[in-house]
Amino acid sequence: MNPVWLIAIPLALAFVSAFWRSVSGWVLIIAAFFNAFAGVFGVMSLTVTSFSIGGWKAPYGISLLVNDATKLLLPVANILFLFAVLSYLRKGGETARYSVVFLVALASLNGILLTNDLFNLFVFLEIAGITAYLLASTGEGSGSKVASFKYLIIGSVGSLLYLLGVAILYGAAGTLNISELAARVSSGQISGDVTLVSSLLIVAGLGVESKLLPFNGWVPDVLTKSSRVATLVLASVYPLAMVYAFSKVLLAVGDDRVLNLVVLLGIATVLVGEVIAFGQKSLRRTLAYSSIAQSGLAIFLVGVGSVESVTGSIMLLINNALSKFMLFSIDDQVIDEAGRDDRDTLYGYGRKSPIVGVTFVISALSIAGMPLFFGFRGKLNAISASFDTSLAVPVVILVAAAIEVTYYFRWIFTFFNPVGTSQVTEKRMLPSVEFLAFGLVLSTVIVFLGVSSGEAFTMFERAADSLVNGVLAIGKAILGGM
Amino acid sequence: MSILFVLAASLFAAPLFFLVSKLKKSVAYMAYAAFQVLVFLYVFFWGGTGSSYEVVGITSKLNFNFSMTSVNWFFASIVMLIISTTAVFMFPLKKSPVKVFLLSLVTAGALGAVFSADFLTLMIFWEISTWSSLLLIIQDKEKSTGEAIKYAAIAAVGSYSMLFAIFYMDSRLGTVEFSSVALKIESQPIGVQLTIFIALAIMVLAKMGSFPLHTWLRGSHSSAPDEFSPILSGGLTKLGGFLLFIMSIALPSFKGFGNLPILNGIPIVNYGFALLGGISIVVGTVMAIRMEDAKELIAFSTVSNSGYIVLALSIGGTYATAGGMMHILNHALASAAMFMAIAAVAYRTRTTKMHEMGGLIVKMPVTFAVYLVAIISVAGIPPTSGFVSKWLIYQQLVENGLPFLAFAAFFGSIGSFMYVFKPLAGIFLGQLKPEHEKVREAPLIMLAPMTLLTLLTIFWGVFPSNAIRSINRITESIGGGTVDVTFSRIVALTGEWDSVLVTTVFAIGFAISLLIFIRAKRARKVDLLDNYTGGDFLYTAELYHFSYRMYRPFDRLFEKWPSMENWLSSTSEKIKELGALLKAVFFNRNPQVYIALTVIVILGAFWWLR
Repeated sequence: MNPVWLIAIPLALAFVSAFWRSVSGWVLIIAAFFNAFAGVFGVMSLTVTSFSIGGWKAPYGISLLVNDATKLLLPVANILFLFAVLSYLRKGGETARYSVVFLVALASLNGILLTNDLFNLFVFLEIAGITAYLLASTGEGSGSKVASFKYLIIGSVGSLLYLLGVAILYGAAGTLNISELAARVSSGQISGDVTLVSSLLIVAGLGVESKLLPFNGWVPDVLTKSSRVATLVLASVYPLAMVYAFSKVLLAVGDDRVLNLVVLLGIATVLVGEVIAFGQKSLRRTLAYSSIAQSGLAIFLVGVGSVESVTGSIMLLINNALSKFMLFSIDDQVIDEAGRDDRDTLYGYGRKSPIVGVTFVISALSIAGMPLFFGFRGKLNAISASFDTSLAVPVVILVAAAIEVTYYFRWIFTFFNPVGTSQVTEKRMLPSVEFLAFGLVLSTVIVFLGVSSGEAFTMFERAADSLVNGVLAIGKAILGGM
Repeated sequence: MSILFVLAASLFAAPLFFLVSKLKKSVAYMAYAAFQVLVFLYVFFWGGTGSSYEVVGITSKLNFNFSMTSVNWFFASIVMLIISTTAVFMFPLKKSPVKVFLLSLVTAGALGAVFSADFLTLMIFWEISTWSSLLLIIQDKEKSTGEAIKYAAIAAVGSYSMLFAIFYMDSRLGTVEFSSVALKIESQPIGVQLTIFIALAIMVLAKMGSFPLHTWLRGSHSSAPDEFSPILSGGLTKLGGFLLFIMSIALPSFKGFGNLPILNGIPIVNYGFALLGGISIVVGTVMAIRMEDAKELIAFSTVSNSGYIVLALSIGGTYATAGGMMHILNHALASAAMFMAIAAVAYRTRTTKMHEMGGLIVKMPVTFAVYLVAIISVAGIPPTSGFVSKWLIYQQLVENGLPFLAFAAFFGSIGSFMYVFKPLAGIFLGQLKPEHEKVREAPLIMLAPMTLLTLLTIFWGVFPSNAIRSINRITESIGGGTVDVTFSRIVALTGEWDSVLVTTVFAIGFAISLLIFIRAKRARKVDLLDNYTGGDFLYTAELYHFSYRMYRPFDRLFEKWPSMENWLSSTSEKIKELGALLKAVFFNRNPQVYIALTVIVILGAFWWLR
């Protein structure tokens, strides 16, 4: 199956949904299901890696690249999107009202994951960005509109900077194909100044969406104030695509000096994110800052650039997507029941609603990186790779990790605080069926990947290898062929 | 059967026990207890063969490594003894599916840790044990969450320090296995050795509850569910002892640091570490004397005894190593017995505050005997095993001429008389409160494990050679010196200790006193209130039992001592303030700031990288 269908179907159905209001809810579900199935079954069995669009062969035309990394990330992203859409199907018509936005978002996220062309990436980034601004504004009250507006401003500036960077690179190299550019850059055909400036601009541009410091000012307000399904999509599916785009582009065309800068910015993001998250009193804000820190960790590993570190990056990325999905869902549940999610409201919540409590423990411990959970494996890679650069790097990462463990445990303890005997007789609360189903699936995946032996992780290593070496290999093949 | 099978069974048993206990809690707990006892018997009687196993799969380069050397066997036996006796002990206490699940995980983690043959395996299983014990601590009491977070923070500091050491070792030496590291580390520059040593030392201090990372013990041990405190104090802190033994004795830290300044035959790094142990002894003792809750008191006693272990294993030398290892065994037995006795009392009286009880010796005599022997062991009095370990440590301190450390060790011993006596007097001696008239002895299933620990304490006090011989095997395998033992005698520097002879003398003395007691006239029993004190008749039962703040003068003496208990909360406040500052800079409300930052970073980076 040509992966372009993953982009085309949602886009086409978006038009349908725009003009035919009454079926918009159904259309979204159909598209989400199609993408999920196609993402898993259609893509996994692909052997051909490069698909050209419109009959123009690479490197003249746009091509889609399906390598081991996309084979891993596409299914995860599409399935999480499906889960997000199905989560609140019964409650409220939010998905129906914004179905056009969701559909276009789905199309653009798949496009970002698949494309192998810099300008095409820009187009999809813009589309994804605009849908993100719209999704960010779906929350109640004016707070979400302001948050969305701030996101719009910094996002637009970021896109422009990215475009500028791409333009400079295009002017010097004459091609927009990522693989070919990788070959050209590594063979030294492009002047160092050009790669430096364009890489800097691209880092800034992609960094906005990837939550890199100091471009991530929009994150806390947006993630805190947008509505339910939108937050799920923005917090778990978007980072997958955006950080992957960051990795893809920078590992291919990035200047080495800029990669060192990325390491620095990544560590700073981690530290700042964790320190601020430590002091937050609302669960949602804690999760937002924690997302920043996790993105920072993934990006720092990209900056290191070895196969081992990029393996860790991909593992952390997927772990973050799975865990944050559950954590934000739990937060939604709590706000639904109680209206707020500060420490006092959450006291003993896990005892009243044990399934929610257990899911919270599993996701929180996975992000904190405790053994028996998936996050630990990624963290091991991260710490191991951090010794490749200077010795200060692992110290900072470990200090940030210690802070992270502490505040996650504080939240876990809040959830399971033994309440007085008077409240023990309260009825146990059951979460919704969707939450049970998706929580079960995601928890099982996290625990399974946490305890499986090393063989299960070759797929992550292959994915990393395809990013670090594979793109370059394809590029050399293209260059050689020309 | 192999270690791997036992470990895998332990891990899989956890969800199994959970499911079973959803149906019938007592069956699950019985199964859990039976499983632990079986594992202990297997480990103790068939272990020590020296076999090792390698299982692929932590990362692409690092594997799990397990082994069954004498060191592993020693620590595994101690940990499993404590866990299995506690598993049987906890049967009458409040059960829950969550607790049995977490207990199984704690056990599986502890097993994996003591069987490890490399640092990363040790770390991973230790972490499993840690996070499950954190969740277990908060199960029962309301104030436990505030205390457990201190444990979480300090444990995180320790764990990440150890992870730093592990990957630093990996990047420098290419290996993290104990034996390979021991060979390769000598050739590394002193800075590398120092970094690894200090990073591992932080983990040891954190997990053993030794100064300066001791502040979590008081809250966690006291607010943990009563059935878990023995395991926490007697079993899990001993994992720290395992790491300490490896890093201090097995890795040649003395040879490695031999080029640094030497104080009285000990490299300054080891001396500094021993000094922390010494301070820990003093702090633990002083604070224990001031406690009013029995469990908090025993928690500080654990701080103090961890200090002994740290002191002994850092000084090195034949006698200190043997003494330190024996102390690990002794303290595990004694501490678990103490916590179990208090748990038994709490099971019957529903309180652990010493001044709320009294006179329970008549109602719970066996529990009293268990507690008495345990405290005699902690105080280091023959013929219990506690004496032997302390005696050996003193030998080494005297040989090396270390007056400050010796002072700390003696202070700990003498001070411990004071604090171990307090629960004895407060709970068991004195006047029985009227509300405790109906209290009965603890059920048999609680008495049996406690009595076993007591008998073992006495056994190894009368025949310490039995334990010393096993320790000699361990030190021999590492290449260290051994302690001369015959059947009843230990030969050390200042003379020899003939335990059988001493015990015989004690027994004769006891027999004489018993004879006198039997021959003398019987005491006349009177009612509690048929009494007077201070020249006055009192009609309130509480006033006849003097135990609240019974060491008030001592308390006053140490009231103004600087306390480390607030450093965690201060650090936490500072982090929050830093967070607010960072938030104001990077996450300002105005989007103009974001754009400004973007431009500044791009320009700055270009200028810097050009």
